[in-house]
Amino acid sequence: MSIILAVLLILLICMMVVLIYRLGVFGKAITGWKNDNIDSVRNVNSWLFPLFFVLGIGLLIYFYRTIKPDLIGEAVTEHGKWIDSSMSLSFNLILVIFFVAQAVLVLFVVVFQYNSKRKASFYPINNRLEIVWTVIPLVVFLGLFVDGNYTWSKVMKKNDEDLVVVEIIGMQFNWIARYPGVDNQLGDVNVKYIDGANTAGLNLTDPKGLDDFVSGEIHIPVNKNILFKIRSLDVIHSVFIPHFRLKMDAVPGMPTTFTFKPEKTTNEMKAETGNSWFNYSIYCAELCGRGHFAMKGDVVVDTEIEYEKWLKSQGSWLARHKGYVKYVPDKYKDQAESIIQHTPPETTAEDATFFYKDANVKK
Amino acid sequence: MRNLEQNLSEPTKLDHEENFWRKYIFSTDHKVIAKQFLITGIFWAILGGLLSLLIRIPHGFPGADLSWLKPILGGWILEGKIDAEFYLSVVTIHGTIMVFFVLTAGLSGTFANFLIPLQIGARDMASPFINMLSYWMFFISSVIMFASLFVESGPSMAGWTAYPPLSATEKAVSGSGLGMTLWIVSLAFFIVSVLLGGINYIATIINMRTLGMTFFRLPLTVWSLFFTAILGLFSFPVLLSAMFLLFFDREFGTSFFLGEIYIGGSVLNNSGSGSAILYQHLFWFLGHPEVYIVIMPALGIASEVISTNARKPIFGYLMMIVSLATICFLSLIVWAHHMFVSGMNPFLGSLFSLTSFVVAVPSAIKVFNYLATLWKGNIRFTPAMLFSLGLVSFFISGGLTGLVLANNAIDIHLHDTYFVVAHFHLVMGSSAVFGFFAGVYHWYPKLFGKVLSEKLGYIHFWITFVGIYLIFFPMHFIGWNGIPRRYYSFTHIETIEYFPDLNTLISTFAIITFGAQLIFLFNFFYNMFWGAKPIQNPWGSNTLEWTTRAGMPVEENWEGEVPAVHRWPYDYSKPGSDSDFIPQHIPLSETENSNLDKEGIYISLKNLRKNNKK
Repeated sequence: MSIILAVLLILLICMMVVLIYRLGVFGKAITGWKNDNIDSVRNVNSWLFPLFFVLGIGLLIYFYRTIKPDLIGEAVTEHGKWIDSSMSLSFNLILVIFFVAQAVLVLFVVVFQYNSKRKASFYPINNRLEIVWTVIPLVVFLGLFVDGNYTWSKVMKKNDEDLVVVEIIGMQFNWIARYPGVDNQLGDVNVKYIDGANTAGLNLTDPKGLDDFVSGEIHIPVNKNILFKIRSLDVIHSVFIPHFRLKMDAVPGMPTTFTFKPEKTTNEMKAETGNSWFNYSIYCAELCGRGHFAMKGDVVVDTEIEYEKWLKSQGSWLARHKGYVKYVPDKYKDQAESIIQHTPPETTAEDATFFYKDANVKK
Repeated sequence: MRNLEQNLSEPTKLDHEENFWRKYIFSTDHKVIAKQFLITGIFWAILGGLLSLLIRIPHGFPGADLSWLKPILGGWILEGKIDAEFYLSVVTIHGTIMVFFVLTAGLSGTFANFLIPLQIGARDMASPFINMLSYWMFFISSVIMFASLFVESGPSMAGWTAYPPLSATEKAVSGSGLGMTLWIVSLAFFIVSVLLGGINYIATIINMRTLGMTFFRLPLTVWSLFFTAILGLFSFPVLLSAMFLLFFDREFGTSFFLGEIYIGGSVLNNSGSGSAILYQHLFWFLGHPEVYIVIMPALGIASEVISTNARKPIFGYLMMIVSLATICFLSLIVWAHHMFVSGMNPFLGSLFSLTSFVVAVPSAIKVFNYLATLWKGNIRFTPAMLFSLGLVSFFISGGLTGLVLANNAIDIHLHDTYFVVAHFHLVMGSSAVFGFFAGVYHWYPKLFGKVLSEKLGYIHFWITFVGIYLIFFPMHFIGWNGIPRRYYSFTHIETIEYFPDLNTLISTFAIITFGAQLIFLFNFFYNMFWGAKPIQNPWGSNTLEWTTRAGMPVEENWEGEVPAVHRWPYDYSKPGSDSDFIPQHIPLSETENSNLDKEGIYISLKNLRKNNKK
């Protein structure tokens, strides 16, 4: 890369030297006005356009070839693949238009450079041409819209069957997830219940929430439809998982959703990339304050067996924070006790430490 | 308010001496006001440019020791690095300055004030006083914004979009304290300035055109400034209302934009049932038209400069106006394409994707018309022409990636990544800046009565043009990989590649490109005092401003009567004429050899051919 940089700099300097040489003495260049061959001097510029165009294309190809292995690979979700195919359609098309349009511009600039003996053609209007280049772009753009919107409606379609529901909660500056527990129903939450331990704001008067559990690491099973219910506690964040082609804002006071189906487990990706510490990450894509750049969450895609195992190892939030049982209304106390009894003992402290992984971000 | 009779009569103020303050500071002369906008704009552009280097340094040279900036930035430099919160301020202020102060006030303010009266043949604006007020509102806004840079808790840190709740409470980020208050107040003054300017431009164009200057004989610069002003009148008040509501949320405990919020260890006092999305709708209702407010004057300038220097009438004059009008209308109904993944109803996503694709059509028409104007032209490569060609090139490159981002499905991945940064910096940032440069190089002889060095102009152009491509093109790859915008550092990005080498390349060329602007500044300020004097019509242009005396026009623009207009402004290289241009004020009776069967905009191809055969 540094070589290419050096070559570029040298070329740029050469271009400037040629220009300055053609322009005559630099001193005169400051205020100089008309001289006899001003138009031939001006025409030097016209030759620099194709030079830059050719060099630029060369550079682009070089860049692309160099960085291609590092470009983000194929999406690992079902909808991500749809998006990828729309993307490749759009990109191929605009690349062609880009090269043709820029080439025409450069060509005209060279061919029609100033010549005092020639007179430009007086050609102010051609309605047929105008219609052609109104209708053709319109049709092409509408085609792109139809393709994109077809993908969009497939991606955004609500799919109610057999969903694994995970609530993703964004806060300054980390992500946590809440799982519905055995009853498969998320309980009520409210910001007024939030405190140091109850980070998700569980409302313990709601029986559906008694078995909910909260995790810093987000686990999801492969090949299942996952529903992310996304909310934020403080400012707007945005759940962005590049490998999934998934992005959805987390808006305080307005829960959002995203349904998707991962098709590759984290371990499969580790093997594929040959990278033993590979993981899927949520990056925050909406400016949210000081720690925006460090607001990262880890997503682990498990096989179904691994996922079930992980689920079982997670105890309900209430069981892990027994002091909060006093907030459970009397009529649900029995239910709460039974949930606590059926909760397996805490396994490792690993998950819990996730919260503080980014603690070096000063607040 | 002036009227047409006054306008056409002899100038009234010629012998009338005014003191320094009335002449240069609180002047009502549209040309002085234009220069005030220009100089203030340049001041902000330098500051905005410097801030962009601060944005780039942590990415390009992550290990760089910045302690030498301590004398300027003081406590915001911690252990040789820019503070993470201050970095957000830099991003925010760079965006705000560039979009509003440089490209709205600096570009549109300068050229609308300068060109509208000169090109339509008026002695001044419809209301010179309101015009003066417009500049001074902008000045107050500038002073407040500048003051906000020195606030202890830092200038606004919420991005130029200032989404609440981040912008609504100091608990979210320290810049949302006094810095944000000043930001809002500054923008409120700015909006007043734009509105005062806008009604004046519209009134002037409608009422003050000289004899014979029908609407369809207006140069495209005036048309573009006309539509820009109209668009501003529709959209800026909405931003003002958003600013007021945000101000209420911050200061008076309302909760228009605040849902249930738990922040900084407690529930926010005024957290309620407001909607953060509502603000986004209000903001982007201006925010999207704003990019057209920025780019349309640049396109107008390019039309004029390309036609003049290709020595050819602009191709499809009527279609250029129609496409401006279409952009003006459609840009009001595309705003939510900034919000595809904000959680709004997916159906709205479809709708706004459709309108966003359609708004690309008039832009495409404009590009094709520019290319057709070059076809069989006789192109003179003046610096203004070079910058206009650069504008067209950027407009193509950035416009095409717009087609990718208008696609709601693809936008799921690319939204808020560097791809977006690359897209808008090319299509509205760099294009508009190039329009600004083209305008300054082209009209400098009228603005300051001196001539800019063409040769320095070439060097300035080539470094800037190449530099901008090398800055923004690699960003597409970075964004493709999913690197989000507004990140202070990429240290936390692990399993996607953020291309440190490309980032170094980008930052290097950012510094080189900024350096090239110093050439322009030298050229601009040196020649203002010691430049050569121009001839009356140095570019051989048709529009009315070149009928004023050589150099700077007198206070009421024309020493004698305002010339009447007899033709459209693009009679370049007309068959049968000896000269390759026929200015607008030359009557048809003087050019019998070159007159067409049917003069005016309704020249059809058939007529042309018939004429050529004769």
